[in-house]
Amino acid sequence: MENKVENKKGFRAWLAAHRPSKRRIIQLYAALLTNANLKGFGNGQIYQGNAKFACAPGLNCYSCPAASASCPLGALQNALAGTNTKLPYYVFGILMLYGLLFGRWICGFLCPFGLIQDLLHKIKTPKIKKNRLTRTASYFKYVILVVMVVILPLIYALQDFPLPAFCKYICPSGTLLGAGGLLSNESNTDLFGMLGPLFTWKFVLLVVFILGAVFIYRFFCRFFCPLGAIYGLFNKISFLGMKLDRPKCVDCGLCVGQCEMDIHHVGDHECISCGKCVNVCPTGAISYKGPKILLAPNEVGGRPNSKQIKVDPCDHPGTPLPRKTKIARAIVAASMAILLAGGLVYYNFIDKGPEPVEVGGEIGNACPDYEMTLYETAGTIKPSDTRGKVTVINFWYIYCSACVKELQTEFPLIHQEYGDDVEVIVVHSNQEYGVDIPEYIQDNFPGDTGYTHCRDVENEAFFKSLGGTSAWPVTVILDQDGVIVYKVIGSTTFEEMRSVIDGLL
Amino acid sequence: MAQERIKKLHLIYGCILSLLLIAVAIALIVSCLHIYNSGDRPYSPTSISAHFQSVSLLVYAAIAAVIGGIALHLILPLPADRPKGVKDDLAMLRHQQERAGSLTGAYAQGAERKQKERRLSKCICCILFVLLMIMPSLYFMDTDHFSVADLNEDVIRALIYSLVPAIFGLILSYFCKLFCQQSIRQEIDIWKEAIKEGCVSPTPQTSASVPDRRIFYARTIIGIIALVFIIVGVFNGGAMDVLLKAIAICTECIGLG
Repeated sequence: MENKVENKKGFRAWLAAHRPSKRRIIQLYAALLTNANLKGFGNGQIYQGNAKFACAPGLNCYSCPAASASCPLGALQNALAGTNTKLPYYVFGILMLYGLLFGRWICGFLCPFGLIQDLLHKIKTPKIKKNRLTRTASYFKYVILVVMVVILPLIYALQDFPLPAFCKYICPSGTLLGAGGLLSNESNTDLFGMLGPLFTWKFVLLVVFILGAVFIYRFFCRFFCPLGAIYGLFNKISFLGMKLDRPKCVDCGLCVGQCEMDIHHVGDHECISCGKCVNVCPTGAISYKGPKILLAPNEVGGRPNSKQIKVDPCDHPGTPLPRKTKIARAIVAASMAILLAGGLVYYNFIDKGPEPVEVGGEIGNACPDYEMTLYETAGTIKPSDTRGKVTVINFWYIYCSACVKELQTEFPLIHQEYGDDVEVIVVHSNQEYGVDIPEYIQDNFPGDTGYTHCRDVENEAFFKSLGGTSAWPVTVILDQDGVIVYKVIGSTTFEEMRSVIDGLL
Repeated sequence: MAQERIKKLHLIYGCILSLLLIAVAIALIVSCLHIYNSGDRPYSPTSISAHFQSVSLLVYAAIAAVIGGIALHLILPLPADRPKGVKDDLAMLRHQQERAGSLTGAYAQGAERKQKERRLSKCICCILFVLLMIMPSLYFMDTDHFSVADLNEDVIRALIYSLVPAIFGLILSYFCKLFCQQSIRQEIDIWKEAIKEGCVSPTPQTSASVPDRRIFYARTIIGIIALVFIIVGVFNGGAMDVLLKAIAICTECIGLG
């Protein structure tokens, strides 16, 4: 079998040797499809449409402005954190389905963070090869899965405090794509006020992961990623992946030697189906399992030589494919291109998101006077109704754990300290999605809190007029004349509010 | 000789780039910690930019070095190393068993002894591991240990101490694995001796359809369970919960507290 790379000369040979492999193209495609909401980088807001019902298969923080779907790991932790109310069937089902269909093929082909690590590893430094220590360390991700993803969210759920422990304390995708994407936009300068010890910790961790990925292949995936740990459990039975033809295998070990993951054998729980082992197998015993349309099962064309820089079976240097397979591949490629183009057009041009609201609620300005519907009694309330009193307005959202926490611990102290001298208006987003907010309020904020609960106006206009985007909570304090004297995006404390209120009274 | 020079050049470049990247990482971490320790709250883009100004030169140098490295590899490419074989002992043992058949005489007894050794060591390891996991489990089951509504320093410290027996358990599992690997190598040697002496009796090839059938059943069952779970999840509001969480910025997840 002739090697097509060898037969080309000069620039064409160089181009053939250096063009992106099919695997890289699929990775780029998946990264773009998972982050199709590119306008999010421009306007600094995350996508809030219904497509986020679906979970992307790879690790991709849903707080990234470009994210077009949910993160399965974040969804799992939040679902486990809510097990005191309902069991997480949906997320379990999604993870099982992805694991069954793809296994860790997702890690090798569909995960955006895996792509970032692959590209970082291409930086030409000396590399730390796998050894017995790395093989042992690869089991650490199961410890992270059990402790940070399962046990801690469950334990804190029993105390009605949702804690997505892995997302909060470890996940580099959230720091890089989420925080990086949001903070780099001018419209989110208010978010800088929320930076503190947690961000310091996560930033340090992110730098370590990035540096590690330069020197160690797939540093995060191999030792820390709980999603890879979950999908690895399905590798043996998944429809896509690598398979070994046992009668042909001569136990030379070249496959394990060539592989940069900590595999024991081809297709085990560490295998990400990158296919590097296919071309080094002298007997052609290794192939992809699954449909032949996307990737041919076995495209080995003799031993790799030193000039063949790309050893990717997806480039099929061997036997020409049957005509039917070529046509099927062309149809699949065209469909996927249409899907991507359609997704980009939909997210960036058709789904424009909510209408923009004029922002005027800055410190020193009069508070915008929106009329909001009360929850507990019939009627409405406006900020101007409380003129003559110091008014604290807090914007919250039912699924924001930080919001619920401060409304349970910090804000009741205002009424205890100041009584009726200070009015506390608690505004929930007008997006309720069928949840019974009054019942939730009754269950979670019992007793004499002194709160006036109400619903924001259409399009969350009041929240947005004060500069709110999709980050809750937001707290605003008005003086007796209705002028904004304090505004914070993120959690606040009673001590902080007291220092402002005391100055006004 | 030219190849040797190219290799040396790449090695020198690689070392310089490595040091540069490590220096950049350390500088970024130090700057970040410096911002935190300065107590200059609340942060703003200007204050953070001012703190990272000192690191910017180093970052630009690293980027330039990376681009230079790409150029170096395009102009003077490094020849790829020939892959080396790494043998997996357990797979080799299974292959021996499938191909050669079964052992006879003293060799069979030797192989059986080795298998019993491995089974016993795994049993003992499992029992000890379970015993060592009792303390961490009791710790996790007592929710009073997590009564503070966040993972603060005290909780993390107590968590780490409670996990010390589990770490011993993991170390024990590692040594058990090493022992089993050694035992497998010895069994492979027994097989090799037996094959040399001719003390093997061939056994009929088992049908490959048995493992295929197991995989088919596993796929079917898991597929059905997955679809049922998804449908139940849609109806019990689980899907809606995923949406509601995803359309709000998770400030905790991106490190904003």
